[in-house]
Amino acid sequence: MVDYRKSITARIDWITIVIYLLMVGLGWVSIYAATHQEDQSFVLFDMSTRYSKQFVFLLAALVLALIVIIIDSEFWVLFTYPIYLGMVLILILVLFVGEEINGARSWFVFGPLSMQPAEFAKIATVLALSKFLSRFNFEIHKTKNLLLLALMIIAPTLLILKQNDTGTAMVFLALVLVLFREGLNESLFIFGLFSVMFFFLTLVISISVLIPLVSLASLIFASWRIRRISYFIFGSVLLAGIFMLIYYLSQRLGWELSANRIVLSGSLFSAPIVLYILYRTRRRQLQFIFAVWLGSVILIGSVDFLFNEVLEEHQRLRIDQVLGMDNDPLGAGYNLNQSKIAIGSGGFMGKGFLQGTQTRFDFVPEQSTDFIFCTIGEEWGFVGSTLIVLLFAGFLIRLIFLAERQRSHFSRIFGYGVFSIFFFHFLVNIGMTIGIVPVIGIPLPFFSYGGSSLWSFTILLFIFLHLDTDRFDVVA
Amino acid sequence: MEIKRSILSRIGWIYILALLGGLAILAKVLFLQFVEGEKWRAEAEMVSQHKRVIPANRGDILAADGRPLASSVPTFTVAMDPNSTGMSDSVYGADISALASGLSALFGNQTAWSFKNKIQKARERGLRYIVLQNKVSYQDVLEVEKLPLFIKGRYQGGLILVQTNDRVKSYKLLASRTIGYLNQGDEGTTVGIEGAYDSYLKGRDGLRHEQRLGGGTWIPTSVNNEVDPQDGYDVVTTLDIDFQDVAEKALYDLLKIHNAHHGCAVLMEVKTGAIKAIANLGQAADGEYYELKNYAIWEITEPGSTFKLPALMAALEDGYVDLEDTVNTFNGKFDYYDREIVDAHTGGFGILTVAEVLEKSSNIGMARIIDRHYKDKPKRFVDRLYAMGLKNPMGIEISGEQDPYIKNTNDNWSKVSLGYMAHGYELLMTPLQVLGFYNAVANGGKYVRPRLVQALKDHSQVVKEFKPEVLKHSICSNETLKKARMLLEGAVEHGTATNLISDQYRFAGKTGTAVIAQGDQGYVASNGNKEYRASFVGYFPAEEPAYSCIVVITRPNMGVYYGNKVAGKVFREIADKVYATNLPLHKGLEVTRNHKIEKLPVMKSGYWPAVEVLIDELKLPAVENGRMGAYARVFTNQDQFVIENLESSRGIVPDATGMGLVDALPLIENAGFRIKISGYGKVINQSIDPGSEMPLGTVIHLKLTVT
Repeated sequence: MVDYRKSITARIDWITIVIYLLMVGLGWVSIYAATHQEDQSFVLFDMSTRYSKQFVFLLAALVLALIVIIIDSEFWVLFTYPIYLGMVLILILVLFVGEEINGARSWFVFGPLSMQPAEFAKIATVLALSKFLSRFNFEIHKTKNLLLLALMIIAPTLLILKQNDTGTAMVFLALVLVLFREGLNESLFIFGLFSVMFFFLTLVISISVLIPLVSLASLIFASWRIRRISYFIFGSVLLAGIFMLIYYLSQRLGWELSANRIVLSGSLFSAPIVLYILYRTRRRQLQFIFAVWLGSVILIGSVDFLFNEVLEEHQRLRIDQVLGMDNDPLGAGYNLNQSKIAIGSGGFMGKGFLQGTQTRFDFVPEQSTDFIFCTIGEEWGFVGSTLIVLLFAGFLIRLIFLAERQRSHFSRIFGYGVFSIFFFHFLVNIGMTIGIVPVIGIPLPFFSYGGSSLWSFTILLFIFLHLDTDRFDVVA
Repeated sequence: MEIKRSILSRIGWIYILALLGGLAILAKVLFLQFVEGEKWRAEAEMVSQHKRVIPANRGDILAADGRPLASSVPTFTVAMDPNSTGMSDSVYGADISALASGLSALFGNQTAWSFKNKIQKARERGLRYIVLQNKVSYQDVLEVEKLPLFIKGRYQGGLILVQTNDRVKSYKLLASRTIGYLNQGDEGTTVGIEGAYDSYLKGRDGLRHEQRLGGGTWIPTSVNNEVDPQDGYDVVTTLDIDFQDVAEKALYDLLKIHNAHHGCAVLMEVKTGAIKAIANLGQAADGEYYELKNYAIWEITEPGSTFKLPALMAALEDGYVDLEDTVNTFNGKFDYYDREIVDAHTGGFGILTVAEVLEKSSNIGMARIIDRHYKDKPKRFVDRLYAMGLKNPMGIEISGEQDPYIKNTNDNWSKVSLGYMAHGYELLMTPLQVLGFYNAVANGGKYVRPRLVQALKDHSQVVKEFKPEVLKHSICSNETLKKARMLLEGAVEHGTATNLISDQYRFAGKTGTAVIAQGDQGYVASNGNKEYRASFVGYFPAEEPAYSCIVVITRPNMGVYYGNKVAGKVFREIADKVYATNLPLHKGLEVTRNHKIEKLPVMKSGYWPAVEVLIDELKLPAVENGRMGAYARVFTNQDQFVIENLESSRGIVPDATGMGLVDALPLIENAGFRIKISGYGKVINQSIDPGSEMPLGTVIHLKLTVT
């Protein structure tokens, strides 16, 4: 037994552990900076202040890490599905007996402690994915497998959405990255990226401009490929004619149609013509171009519908803030504006530890949780921000490195799951504080205040680190 | 190999994705901190630093003796943020009931249940600000801050306090219209001394640079203010609280008895024009009387018989008549062109001397005298009136005075104008303007401007003193003046005001009973009756006039409307009080005392001039120690009194021990505190030690000798 333990300390990846300790340490210091009150004395071992609470959480996390590191890999492999199903049940349970905090019914409250099961659902889902994908002779493109994979990811996502915790739900989408690594068709993946791009383009540029632009681009590209300018002229006249006709008709019939509606319906009318051309032509390139055009128009139309009919008011506002469509620093954009003030006023060296004015005066709501990066940006400036980004980048790259050195599929896939989740949290959390991503309430791993997230990230990481120590034994 | 390459490229893509993410973040941070850095730094500066306006304290309005008539007292609005971020459900749930019952016990105007209900509803609706109570005193605020939940402060307890300075009139009704107010009602009306002296009273606000600290507190960035606030000056009026009180009470009682519509009374110091009392009472819809309008200054009416004096003085001055000349007033009815002039005396006065015409107030007599002598040259009569200064307004400091209207011969003049003007019709004057003229008669012909304000003070320092202002050095010859004074004394002693004679002192004056003009309808009201305005104007003591006074009562009902019976009574009451309390008016015994005092009497500390008068009058041995001030501390040293300046400045608790309440009250109130008293006599103990710095409005408990 003694030998076994020794071997674990010898084989464990100390680089990752050092980065981990650095991050939780810096995280605690940032929380201290964000929540201490000048008139309060410094305390560590009680629950009266956020930073002292976080200190207790931190100690508990280290104990958890120790426990997780000695749990045998077999345990996770064997109990994956029971853990996953149990987690799904708990997610259902929280909908009925959970407490609502900050508008999300996603908390279990036990006296002074509150727990967010959604945080732990990530671990269960990654475990389940790993086990499923690592089955012998697994083929990802079998319809049944694809459907099961989708179900595995979507079930917790929907349950968490139902809890009104959109941010955490979106984290599960990051697991598509794992599928990509495991051989999911890149066109599906690229289609996903393309959709996201069009989604934002549609919101920035009016449909009545975007569709003609896309159409024009397709026409130019198509006529250039087949070297016939007449195609271009014919196509443009046809499209313009259709739009004009619809405008004329709507005027005659007395409909109050917006420019967007006219362009959308015009495109729908031209769709059969395009389909006919697609059917008749033999040129692959032309087919591809027209297919892209059709896809784009459908995407644009559905984004318009999605944005206005499906998304909720506050979500629309947050997206508008990022895209600069709506500048309302006192309303929906308050957080972001205050956050930008904090980071922007930091400068190169920052204002110094405990000297951040934005930080200390509670200007930024959720300063110690989702907006903890403000504190770093303001008090440590560009130097501090870069250090954190480098630390995260190093951490993420180390995770890929570790994942790739696994011989066991289970371990490798689990590693990618861990990577995807950390990557999404890192990109989206910091991105939202500086305004490149809409404000989505998810924590910055190891930095944001809160026991649940710290513990779930710690467990996630240390399961993987233990799996890594077993890389020479073949598990499953 | 194909698969392996594909996998490898995928790993590459993932690495690139992670790197791109990091780079995007760094680029944006760089952009924020360097490209836009200036902008964000400026914004950070703005939200963490600001300039706070430090409001200046508004000056007080003081009576002539320094007692406050209007002063500023801080009051608070107690409000709550029922959804304060720091207020957790458990804390709220635990304390809300106790808070509600605490509020109910403290304010008493709502039940605990209703407070709780109000807060609960607001919390459910997500409101961030609800008012729980307005106009809460500082003492009560201290209690509010100790209530459950609120004791946790703004962030966790949701307590919000908004301070406002309330203007408090120390003597509620007393001269309230004259003291006035600022920006009241929908139109933001501003009246009285508050309005006229606003620029002095309001002071100048200061500015302070402040930086924000945690928890929403701000601290000044430097010890010194950028601009120090300058407190407003105190306005020292000429008003005497005691006289004002008498005037108001006498006027009120009389209005009440006669169910009159409204009335006013003004008491003025003859030599200086200082208004010592100005009472204006009007009947409100509820039948009670309030200071509704400043009738004395604003209301312009036909003065009636009180104008007979100037009219007759014009004729005397022109030498057309003398007091012994006679005039026939017939049987009390006289056809004057197409009109009929009537005398009040049934059966008429018959033949009267000119003096008797005024003393008995014969309308016919006056009309005939003036008509006879000025019929051919009416312009001369009007010019004479103008020459006596009657055409000009008094120019009192506060707004609202209307110009007198003494019509000229080119202005709607008719052949009856002379006769009617002779007994006070076809012309308009305010009560104060009539008083101004009589005061000039009392003052040896010197027309002084009536005034309400004697000085401006910066704390106890006089910064500006207003000297009496002479409008006209002499209204007429000494000859005429002497006759006028004789006439007015005669009117009291054997004329229309004999019922008012006092055996204590002599006074002079003229009654007036005017029929109120009803607009276009002549002098008969719509109900077929005539309505009257009773007035009395005069001065006392008759020999050496010290005070002049006018009383005007409009629409006294109950059948009695003669000036002497209605307005004269108020005049007498005021005059009696002034005479009784004013030592210099008495021609007393000259006391000279040379013997040594065996044992010093007990003397209270108090108002410096009062102490001085005592020492002078009683010829007591005393030394003054140091500079003279408003209040004196008096103590004995061996066989003499020592008088010292009793320091008093706002916010510092003064030493009231050894004082009588009369002095302790204004002393402490001037320093900005409030008083609770137990017992009577001299102050032997005060609850807060002298010299302590306390918030304005703090209650100081005074214990007096006898409890």
